[in-house]
Amino acid sequence: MSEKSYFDGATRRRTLQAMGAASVVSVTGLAGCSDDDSGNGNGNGNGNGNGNGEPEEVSFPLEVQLETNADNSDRVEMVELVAASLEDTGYFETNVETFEFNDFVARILNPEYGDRGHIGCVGLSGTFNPESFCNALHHSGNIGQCCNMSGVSDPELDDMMDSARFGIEVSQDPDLRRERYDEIWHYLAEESYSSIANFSVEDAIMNNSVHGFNGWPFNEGLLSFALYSPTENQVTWMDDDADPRETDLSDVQEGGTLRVGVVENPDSFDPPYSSDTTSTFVQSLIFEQLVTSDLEGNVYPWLAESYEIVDVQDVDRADYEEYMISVAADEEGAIDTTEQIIVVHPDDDPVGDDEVRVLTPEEAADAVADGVFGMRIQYELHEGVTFHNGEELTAENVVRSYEYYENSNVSAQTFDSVLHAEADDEYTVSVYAQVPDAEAERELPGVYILSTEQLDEIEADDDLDRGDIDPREDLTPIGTGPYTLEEFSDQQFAEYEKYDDYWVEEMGVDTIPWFDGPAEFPDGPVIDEIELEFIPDDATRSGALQNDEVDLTYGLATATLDDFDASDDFIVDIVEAGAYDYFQTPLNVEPWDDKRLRQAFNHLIPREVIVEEVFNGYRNPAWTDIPELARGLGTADYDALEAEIRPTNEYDPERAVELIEEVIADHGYESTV
Amino acid sequence: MTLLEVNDLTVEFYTEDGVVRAVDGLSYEIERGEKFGVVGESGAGKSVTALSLMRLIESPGRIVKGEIRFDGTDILELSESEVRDIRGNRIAMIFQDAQTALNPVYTVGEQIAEAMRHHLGYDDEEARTRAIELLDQVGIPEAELRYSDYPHEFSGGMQQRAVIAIALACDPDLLIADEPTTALDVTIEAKILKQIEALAEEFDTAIQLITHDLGVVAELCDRVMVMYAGQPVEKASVEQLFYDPKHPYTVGLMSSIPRIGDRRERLQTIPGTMPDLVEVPTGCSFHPRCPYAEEACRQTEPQLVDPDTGDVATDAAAERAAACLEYTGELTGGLDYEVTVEGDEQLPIGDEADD
Amino acid sequence: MSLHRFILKRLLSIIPILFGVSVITFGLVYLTPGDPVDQMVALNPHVSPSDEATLRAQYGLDRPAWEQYLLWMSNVLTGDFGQVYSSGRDVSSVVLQRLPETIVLGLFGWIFALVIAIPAGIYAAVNKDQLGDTVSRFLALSGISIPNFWLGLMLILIFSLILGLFPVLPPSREPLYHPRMLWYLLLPGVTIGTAAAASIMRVMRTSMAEELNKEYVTAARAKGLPERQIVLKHVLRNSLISVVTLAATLTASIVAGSVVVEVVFNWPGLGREFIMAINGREMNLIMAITLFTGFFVIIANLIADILYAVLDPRIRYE
Repeated sequence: MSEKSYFDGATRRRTLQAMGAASVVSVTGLAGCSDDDSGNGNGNGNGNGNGNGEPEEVSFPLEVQLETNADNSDRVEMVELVAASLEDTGYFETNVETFEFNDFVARILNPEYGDRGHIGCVGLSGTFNPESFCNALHHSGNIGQCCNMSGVSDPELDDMMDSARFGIEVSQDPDLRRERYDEIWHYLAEESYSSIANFSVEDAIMNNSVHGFNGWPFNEGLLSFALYSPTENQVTWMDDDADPRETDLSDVQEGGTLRVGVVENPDSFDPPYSSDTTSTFVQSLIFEQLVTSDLEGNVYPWLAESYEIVDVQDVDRADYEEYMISVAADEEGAIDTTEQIIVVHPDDDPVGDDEVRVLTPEEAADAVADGVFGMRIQYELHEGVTFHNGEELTAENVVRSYEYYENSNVSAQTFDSVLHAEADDEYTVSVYAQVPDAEAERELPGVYILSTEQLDEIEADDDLDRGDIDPREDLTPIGTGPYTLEEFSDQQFAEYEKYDDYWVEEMGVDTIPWFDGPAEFPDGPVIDEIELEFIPDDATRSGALQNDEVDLTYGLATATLDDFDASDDFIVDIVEAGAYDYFQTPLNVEPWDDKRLRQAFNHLIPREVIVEEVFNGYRNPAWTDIPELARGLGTADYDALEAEIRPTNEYDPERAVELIEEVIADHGYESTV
Repeated sequence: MTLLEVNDLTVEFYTEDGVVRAVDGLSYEIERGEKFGVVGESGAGKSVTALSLMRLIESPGRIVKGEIRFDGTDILELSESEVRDIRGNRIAMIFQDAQTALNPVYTVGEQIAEAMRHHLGYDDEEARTRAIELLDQVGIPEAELRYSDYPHEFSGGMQQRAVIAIALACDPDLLIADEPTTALDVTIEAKILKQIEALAEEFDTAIQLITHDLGVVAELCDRVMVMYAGQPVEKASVEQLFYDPKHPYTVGLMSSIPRIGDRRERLQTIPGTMPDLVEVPTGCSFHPRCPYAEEACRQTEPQLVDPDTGDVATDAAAERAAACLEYTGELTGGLDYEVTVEGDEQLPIGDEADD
Repeated sequence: MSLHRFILKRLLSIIPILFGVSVITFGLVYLTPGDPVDQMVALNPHVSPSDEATLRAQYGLDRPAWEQYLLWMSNVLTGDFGQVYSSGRDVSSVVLQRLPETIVLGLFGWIFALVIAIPAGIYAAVNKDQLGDTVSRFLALSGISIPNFWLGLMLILIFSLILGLFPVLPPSREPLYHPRMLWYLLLPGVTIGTAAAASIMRVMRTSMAEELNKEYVTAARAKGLPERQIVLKHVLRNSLISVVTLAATLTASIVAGSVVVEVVFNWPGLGREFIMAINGREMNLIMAITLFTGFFVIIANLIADILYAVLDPRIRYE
């Protein structure tokens, strides 16, 4: 999800990071997508075989150009460190080239980029889905898309990645999925197509009144996770008198106000009509979903008391053909229908064809009625959950919420897996997936459950449109969540109060079947009031924290974090997150086609030095390809995995030189080293 | 009774090129109601003298020496606020260029009235009434209407009259008129001179008229002082000056006056220019231009002396004086010039401008 | 009256100017890589090219530039400034909500600049080349050279964090017109006004020093008026003429300065909105803010022209 943020560096990094579960990434909308080499690669004899038809003779020291986007100074510094490390071996003559962000994106998304012989460096952002740390970088479908820039096209690897997510077996067997990912990580370590250098962290900084706080790997969920999450026995409370370094769950105090400095103004409180992280941040106190997650991405039922995969069928998207209708598509690919398009026939191309076959909600319902679907997950709702307006949660709320997501700002990510939602009875609802999908457990229920009364009001009132669930449209958002929105002032603040009839409190957390926390864990969040102050400027936000105008903030510069960390008056909480920087060597260009050279390159990335020198310690070296958040689903045994793979990622110039010498000898390359 | 007595007034300007002595040891006096002319080429120190009288010399200029006794009090000894009580009130000044002397953004009437409100304590209405009277007196038609005109709405002559009205506003004892008519054409010049004269007489005001134009002096003044390079070179009554000039510079000035009926093709001007005041020539500062200069003139600086007796006449009260070595007997060749009085004209110039 | 006609004429000339501003702004935004759809969904792995095309068609972004412009223009002529793409809110309601914040801040900064600069300029001119003049010229040079955001951060550091006199965040719970807001306006107002104050002070000093050498000043002194009256009455009014020109020009730089200052002081004004609009390629919002800003700058210049005539009777508009 793209996010609008303040200054270029940050915005752009986040945008590039935004390819969450990257399957097929589209970039056709990016302007300036030029085919030329911007005059940097071709002319100056860097690299080999760069498009002029005459592959140059390979000789060592090898000339190579490293490239990245200029707006992210940390990344540029990192690339320069790696270049220096390559030079130090004596086997490389390097040149670092940086590009304006939009130009760089256009450059690396050019399918021919891999043939130019350059080493590109990009930052991306992954999710709980392990796929996000391999698929975008290596799947052949992502050549010319984000971000298989070197053009990895390995049918065996494609197959491994596909079968780790899709198919009847894997979609019902998480252990099988973990094993399959372990195979992928080993395969990637051997081939060294890419070198992930580091994983990002999410920071949160608070004063000594904030107790029990723990961070979340995605800042949009930071607050709602910290306030109350039985999955990790997480609860935050306010206490001015005790030292938060010495308190534990037995010291929980009720009441108080938590003031949070938030990095942006939210676009909207209407869940499907906003896509920026801050909107999710402010919505997540009000709205809830059918499921919740722990820090490793394991899914737990939430508004649903339980769920069950009741059916998995070997269906692919072409199997919906008989239900599809034909609609016109213009030359740009815009499809002429006001209905939500759930599936486009895989054989049709909206850009190339005048007409395409599509499945819309009505036909999807028909298909489901006929038993054509990939998966069915059935959710049993808690009885007695109330919305802030007193309305009781029923299956209708769930079905109506899915409908409300149609043609919204987030419909693309919702309906790339969801086929249909249907009430089975008052408290039972089935959500259908288009194909058998191991991610369905997380992807399908990724919808905030909305108040039917509120949705009815929007439909009935001529002045209200979808997207108007927002105080700026005089509509107070209504959800089942632990807090109600009391006041909101655009660009300034939002005030929440604890919802008195919050369902967990009413039922008791012990009634949640999977909960096994300590007895003193409270039945709901304990802080009475939450005040969010929207402060886009880092320095101002940091100042507000220092001046005791907020109790908690996040997203500060690393240098500032050190200062706060050194102070006894503040606590800095760091949790590993999903953003990562990676390099790709041009494997289709001699001599990089020899994996030993790629392995050598990998040994020449000083991961620890980079983290310390460039990121002041506020990143983690990537010893494997999966950060903590993806380990729940992405590996059977992380410690074993790290033990095996870490040696291939250690900085080891001696080993690198050995490998390079082998390459030179085996291929008979010229070398003056 | 002596209204103004200037003794040994010396004014220096500190410039990048050095110290300029703009006025050097000047002494003179003006009686009540007397009309005293100060004559000389531009740069002779006349305007500096005028400004000194009101202590209006500004940095980088400084009065370094001398005294200015006005009605018995030395102006140079007064406090700033005491001087301000005199300025515009007892000594007033008519500026050379009315266009620049008037503030463009206030009405003419206001600029006349403000001094009266300040010095005489008039309220707005009184000041206005009196200002209109003054405008009328200096000959501005429809004075009441014109009161609220801005300077740019006045013609040049009217502006000059307005400046006179400003100077007369508080009925001063001494009116310093600094080239009051230079910017005007001849007809208006004559009218305005007459007006100044008439008004001065009406108010019994003494006038120090500063001009480079001997014709104007002839028309208006009782006594004259000729200045050259910051120094007085001759003092005389107006008749003495015209009939019997004693200093070669005075003679030179007179021969450069244009006359009706003058058959000479070119005006006979004094050759050369005023010396650079940073480096005043040794001896007599006029000697480089003086047709009668001798070696002695280069060596000895002449003092003001009584031309008849040769006695030193540097004090303010001296009626007749000239600064030329001739009168101390130091010239060998003498001064060889002659003044002729033509026809029955009483004075060599002036009347032709009168209508 | 000629002044009335002049004002009318100038008011009418706003139309072509704003038209020009809108064309240029539109052109610049159009030529900048990326459009609102890119900003919303680009690199979203779930959005297909077809989805993007559909979105563009929905917003009319698929049409040729001139057609988009004409469409926009015809809507504006009916008072419809369009919607913010990302939130669907009306651009005019967003602008009207933010506008008072920026006007108050800008006005405060401007008044601060004048209140500081004019007396300082007078003082410096009257005491030309003395210590006070040198000090104030040094301060003026610093004021011009210091970047806004740095000054803002320093003020926050000193007055909020060290001295604790001001909160870092503006009191968002108070209405803007509350008298207490004056206090909170001080730091951002000073930040926004400093550079303007410095320029005005310099011009004031130069222009006053020049006026002080004019003969009408000597003439006024010769009248025996007190120096204070001469400076404040005679000289000030004349020297203000060039200050008015500058102050009008500075309106634009104050507006520009508000962009940074609003971010640093978390002031919920148009400037902050503008940054977000640019980042999000929110064409409608960018256009509306630019037009409003342009309108105010033009009005400021018109006021300056009227002030000339008030200050200097020689100036007449025919």
